[in-house]
Amino acid sequence: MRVKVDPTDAVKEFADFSRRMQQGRDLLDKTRDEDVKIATTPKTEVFRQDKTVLYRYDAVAKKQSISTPVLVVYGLVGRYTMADLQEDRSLVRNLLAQGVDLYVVDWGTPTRIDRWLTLEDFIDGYLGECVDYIRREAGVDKVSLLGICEGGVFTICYAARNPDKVKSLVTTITPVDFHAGSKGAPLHHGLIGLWARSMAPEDVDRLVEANGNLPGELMSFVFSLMTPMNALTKYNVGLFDVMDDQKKLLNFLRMEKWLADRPDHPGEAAKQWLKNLYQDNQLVKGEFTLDGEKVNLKRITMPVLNIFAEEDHIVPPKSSRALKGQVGTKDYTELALPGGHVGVFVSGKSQGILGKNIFGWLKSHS
Amino acid sequence: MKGFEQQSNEWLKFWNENQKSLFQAWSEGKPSPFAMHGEPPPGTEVMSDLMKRSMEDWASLAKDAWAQGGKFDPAAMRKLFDPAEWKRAGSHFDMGLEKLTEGPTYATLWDLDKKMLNTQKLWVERARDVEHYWEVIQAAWSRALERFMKQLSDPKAEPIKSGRQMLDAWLATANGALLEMHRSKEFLEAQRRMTRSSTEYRLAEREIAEAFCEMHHIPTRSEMDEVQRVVTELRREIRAMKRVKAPAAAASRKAPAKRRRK
Repeated sequence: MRVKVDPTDAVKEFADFSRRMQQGRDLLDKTRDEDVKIATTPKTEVFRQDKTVLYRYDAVAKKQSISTPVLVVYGLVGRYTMADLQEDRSLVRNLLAQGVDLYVVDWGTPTRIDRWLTLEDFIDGYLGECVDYIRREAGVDKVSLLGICEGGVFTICYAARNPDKVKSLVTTITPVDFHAGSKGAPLHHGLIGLWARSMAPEDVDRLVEANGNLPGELMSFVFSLMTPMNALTKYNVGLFDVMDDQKKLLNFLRMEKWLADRPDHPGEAAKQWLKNLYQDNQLVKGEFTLDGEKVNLKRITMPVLNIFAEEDHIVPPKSSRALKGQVGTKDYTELALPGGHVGVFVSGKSQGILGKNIFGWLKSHS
Repeated sequence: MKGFEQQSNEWLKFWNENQKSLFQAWSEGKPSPFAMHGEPPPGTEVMSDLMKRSMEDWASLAKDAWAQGGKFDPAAMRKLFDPAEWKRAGSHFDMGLEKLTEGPTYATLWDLDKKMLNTQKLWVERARDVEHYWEVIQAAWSRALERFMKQLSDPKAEPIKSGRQMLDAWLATANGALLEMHRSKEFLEAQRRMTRSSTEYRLAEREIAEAFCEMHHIPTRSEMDEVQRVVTELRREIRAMKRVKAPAAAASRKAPAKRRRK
């Protein structure tokens, strides 16, 4: 038998457990909702269309360092608040501190009425309107786009369809080849793709027909399949591990707050996302169409910075790196960061690296 | 004016009474009390036969419950009233239900009844798929436990010296087993089937809700979806028109001065 627990050590371990529990309970008792607020960087609503809101972050630096405004675009699976989780873990604050004129698009909270919205509505419609607003208000011809995950796909498509309006393109943790990256990778990598492809196209249609949208809870469940024991034990083992350290505890709670805020994905757009991209891999094949027109990635002629996470289990690195062979520009830079899909944005380790590299690259291409 | 609750109760009463008469009529081989006068429509005999057989199945199960010399048999009784028993593939009720829902359709005749039966059939399918899904998951937990026990008894492995080490070892083992299962064809297929049958059940439920809505002059989900579709399309058109109009308007204005932050 491998178990060789010394009785003295066992008593010590139990005493330590009790102490930690007590400290944790005291800390949790003291914690209030305002302590775990996320996305607190001050910003002002500047444009609104239907549920989409464009915010401009209030300047922090004395001087604007880059003349071209940058628009942060998150996807519909989750919220942009991840880029501004807390003061010391915020890409937004890092860029503002460097003097970047920063905007973010918030898609709002889709409900059943939004089920008919397509990817065209989001990319050509709302995103297009936001870009035009910034161009108009800032008096510039072009803006820089910073896409995150599904938002990265939106920015890729927008840039390919409107190269004359995009100064430079930064994509982060963005899937491009939706079938790449699970071969030979750790077991939990690429499970989303496997799940999406396990369904028949008509399964997706019926799911959307019954629910109107792709329920956020369903996506949360699918994400939890990738880290099953962590998902099952995070409120006992996971919480216990951080509960006697206030900083770690607040980090944990803020992250949970972001995870719990998963909106429904508008139905028709979800069908395109799951069937055309995840199942048929049309983007990388050059077959993906928006408004009846093929999205030609060769039309991406502006400079591109493509950032991926080395341990990304949701968007495997190979899936992101496929962009390299697809774009029409020679000014293509790749940056691999340590950490997982979300970790790139919220871990203390990658914080400095991410903001610093994006700013450096934007500055050198301004 | 009658209150909504009272109206609903009356509707339910009406529905129950008619349902009772309908089943009664089927079992006796007579036309439905909802139906027209005169000869029973073609297919009525088939329906009546199926209904009879379903009732006979139930009677035979009921008989089994007291089979042992008039003694009450709790196991057989449990079987009789256990919904899990009804959802077993190829069971008496399952087959009867299948045949009833696949019976002939006569315009709007028995439409709501068919919808109700179809929903019941889909509920059975859903319950069966959920059960199978949990069977697949349970098998992975058993594998995890088996592996963990093997690890614990491995004399060559590093000794486990604390409760936490033991917990971590269990979590790592279980995580591996669950991940293997999540990637397996068996799990993906079980999950797909469960999602699909839950979806179909939900849609069938909607059909019944819509029948109720129509009866009470309430807009249905499908109608609301249609309205929302029109609104989305109109909004899309307005956005497109504004986009066409905007460059023309901008050209007629003086170009704005480049705005900078101070």
